[in-house]
Amino acid sequence: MRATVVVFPGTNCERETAEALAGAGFDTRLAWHEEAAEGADLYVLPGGFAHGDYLRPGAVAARSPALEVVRRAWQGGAHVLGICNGFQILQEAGLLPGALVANVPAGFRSRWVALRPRAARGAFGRAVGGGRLRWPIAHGAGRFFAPEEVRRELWRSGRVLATYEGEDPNGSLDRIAGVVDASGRVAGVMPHPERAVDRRLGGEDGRAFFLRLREALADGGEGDG
Amino acid sequence: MARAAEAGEATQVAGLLPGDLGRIRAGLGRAPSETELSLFSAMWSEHCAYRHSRPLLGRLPTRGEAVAQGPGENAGIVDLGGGLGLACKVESHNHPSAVEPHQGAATGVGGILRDVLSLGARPVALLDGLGFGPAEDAKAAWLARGVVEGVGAYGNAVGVPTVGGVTRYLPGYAHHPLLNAMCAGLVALDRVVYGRARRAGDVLLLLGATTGRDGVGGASFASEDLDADRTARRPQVQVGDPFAEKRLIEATLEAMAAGLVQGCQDMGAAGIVSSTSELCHRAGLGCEVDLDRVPLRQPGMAGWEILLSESQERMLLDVDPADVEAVAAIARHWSLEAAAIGRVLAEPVYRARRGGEVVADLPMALLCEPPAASLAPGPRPRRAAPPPPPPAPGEWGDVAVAVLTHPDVADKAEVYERYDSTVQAHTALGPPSGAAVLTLPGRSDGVALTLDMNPAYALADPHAAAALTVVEGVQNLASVGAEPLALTDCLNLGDPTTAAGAAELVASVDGLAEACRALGVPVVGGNVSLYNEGPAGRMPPTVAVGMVGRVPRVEGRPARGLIRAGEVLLLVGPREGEVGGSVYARVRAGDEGAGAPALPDYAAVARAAAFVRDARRRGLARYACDVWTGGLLAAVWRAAAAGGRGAEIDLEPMPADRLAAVLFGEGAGRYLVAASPTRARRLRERAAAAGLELHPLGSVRSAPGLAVRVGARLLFDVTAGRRSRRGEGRRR
Repeated sequence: MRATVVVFPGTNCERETAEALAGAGFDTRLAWHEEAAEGADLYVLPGGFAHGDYLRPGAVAARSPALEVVRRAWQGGAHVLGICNGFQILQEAGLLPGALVANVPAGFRSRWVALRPRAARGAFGRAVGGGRLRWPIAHGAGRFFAPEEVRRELWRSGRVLATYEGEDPNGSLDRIAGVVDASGRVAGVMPHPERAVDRRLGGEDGRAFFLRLREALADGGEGDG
Repeated sequence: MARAAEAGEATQVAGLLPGDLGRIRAGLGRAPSETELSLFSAMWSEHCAYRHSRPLLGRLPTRGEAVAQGPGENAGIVDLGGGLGLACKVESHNHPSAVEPHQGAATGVGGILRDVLSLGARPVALLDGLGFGPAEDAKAAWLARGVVEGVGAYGNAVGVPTVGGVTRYLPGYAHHPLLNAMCAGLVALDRVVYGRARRAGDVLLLLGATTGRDGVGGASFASEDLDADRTARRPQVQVGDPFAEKRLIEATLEAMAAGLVQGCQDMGAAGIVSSTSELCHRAGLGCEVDLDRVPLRQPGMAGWEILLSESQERMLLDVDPADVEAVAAIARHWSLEAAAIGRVLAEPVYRARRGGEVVADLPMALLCEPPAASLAPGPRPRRAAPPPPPPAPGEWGDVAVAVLTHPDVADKAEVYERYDSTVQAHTALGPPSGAAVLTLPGRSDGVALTLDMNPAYALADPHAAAALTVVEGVQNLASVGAEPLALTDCLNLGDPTTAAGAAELVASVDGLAEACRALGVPVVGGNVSLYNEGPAGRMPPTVAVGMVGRVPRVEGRPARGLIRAGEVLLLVGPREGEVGGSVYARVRAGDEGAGAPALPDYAAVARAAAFVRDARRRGLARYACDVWTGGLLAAVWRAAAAGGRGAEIDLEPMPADRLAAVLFGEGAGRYLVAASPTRARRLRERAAAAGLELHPLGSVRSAPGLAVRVGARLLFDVTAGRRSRRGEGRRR
């Protein structure tokens, strides 16, 4: 399984994201945004502040040629995962529903959070698994926002990947922490699985996520049903 | 040569001391030009030249087994073994933060990152030391909010985790906040790049952002007391761009990894003139800088403005002429400027050209080595205070709540949760914790970092405060099983030309030196910030100590609190702490009347630290922390809250004044330890063998809160309900 981690100027989680993917058995490469090419099975847009978050988080990167490469790869059957800023980029690019707006209460929040998987469809649904997860968050604009009818449709069609459990960190509507698109091949999560890959760092739930993701992709990208 | 300066006829110039103009004229054998005079005003300022503090800093011990690079470079380097080094430094940005808190703090973080970067180290951790005024003061609250936002905005965006720090509240910080930023970075010891030019003929290459008028005169600004009209100072505050910094970090490391950088100096205070002259002077060489080649942000800048600009996100590289194009290509990739602005000369002169004309031509040694200033310190400050009367029998619960809700003791989640503490995925133990622990790539050992300061003690005794802050660092490291390797310090003091200011400077350095020697912790570098005075007077004399330790094995995640009900709580060290200077004394007698703790018994400190370190490493203690701010009460309360449990402790019946010292006392050599009953027995045996005091305290309970008994009598039970009475008794 080949994974490409797309690096924009201002991206700052690319190294640990690539390490987490490699640790889970992906054949991983970092691709500078101007050099990203088709041919990978998984494209990961990592966290950070792509293009300095100018205009809005993700806004500039979403309109860059790299996203056209990612979009074509997705149309050709590849899977796409956005983490934190990557999630913001995918929403700005129209590949994922809703918007990620300023946290409520306002301000950047960095802490470990508990997540509850919501049996979403496809490989990403299989990757988050069924049990409670602990991943760190670190964001100032992570409040998932979408009109009620959109959210109803997300729930109805099994596209809510995970929700926050316990203390609400950012005011996300329906406590949504991650979603998948209609194809089931594009996913975005605000928390950082790549920071939860070592028992010594406080948990390995992120490692399990990447391992199951690789298995699911190896099985042809299908979920459990 | 530009005409001789009008200003040269004056008797005083910003940043210069009385008599300096005469010294400069004598050294040059002529009057300096206007441009030259402005260079002296920056390079001879306290901020750049440490004129009052330099003679004292020689008192600090700087040698040690783990010291790979001591003071004199842009940061110190600690040898972690296996060819790996940890570069570290702490620096202040108080003056800018007092004027424009967000940008002042942000650029403080940016500056310390570049110090570490200049050695070729990739920044892996930030810590911050903050001092704020009371939250009830609207201006103080605005400053505090801005500083925290600034630290977060910069650190979060560059992708370096802020893993720890310290925040202290005193009225003396109200309108002059304290911002000390510490950075640690990893570097292969055989790939270190030094802040010295290689040889004559090399190109001086400016990498990074364009140069504008921001921060012009910042160095001399930071060497003055701040007057009331601070908004007029805004142009002297730099503006930070973390997006540019992130690209600058990557570009610099890429150029260094490719072997294209022969020497490197970050551009901080006094920008181009300081970085170019320091880089060449360290090597005994000179340089010529062509100011027409500096990429400018705005037109019409004068030569002296270009030389003194403190525009952020710039680095100076010494590059072989054959490699200039290769570095320029890396810069283009990261959308940064790379400009060959000068050359290294064999002749030890500092020469600058603008519009083809020589605007400065100075002997390098004269520019870079101003004479040290003499100090006239008053008597060593030590203000004794009688201990406050002990609480009345029914008053203990209220006093306990007042201590626990004191802003120095209360949880600081509103500060540390604003900072990304987990980016880079190597934070094994982050905030809130006495010391942070980082894993190392591909290794089983780890690094422990702590940043401490005790300004409340310093109000009464700056010597004891500095010494005890070193002790606190050692204790924080021991609590996570780490032995100290070295420290970096930041002295934040007042006007050294006054007797009181000089006395505080001498006392702070002496206290630091005494504890470093006694505990065997060398100093690898630091920063001195003087003239921290505002309209309301001198800032509390503050010595921040950033300490680096090594954890031989990071196993599992170190417990961050009391997590197992039924486990035993033990007090290591003397039963009673010091009431002087404690939060308890401050709550009862006010900050000014609280006094300070006595100087520590260093041998006892070393013995207790060795015991706790060993207990952690052998897995005998599930949790340990030092008993410090807020005393035993606060230590147990915090540990219980962090682990989601409660605790019950039982103190022996004793007179009320001694009970206060047990429960609220601070000072050196005490730790709280949690262990299973079996392991607690083994700890007691080991303590007895080591001749250490170890007192059973009580146990961890499932129900939250903290109950304190004295024999059969319940002294108080602070539960969550009680805690919600926030603010009550917070200030007297």
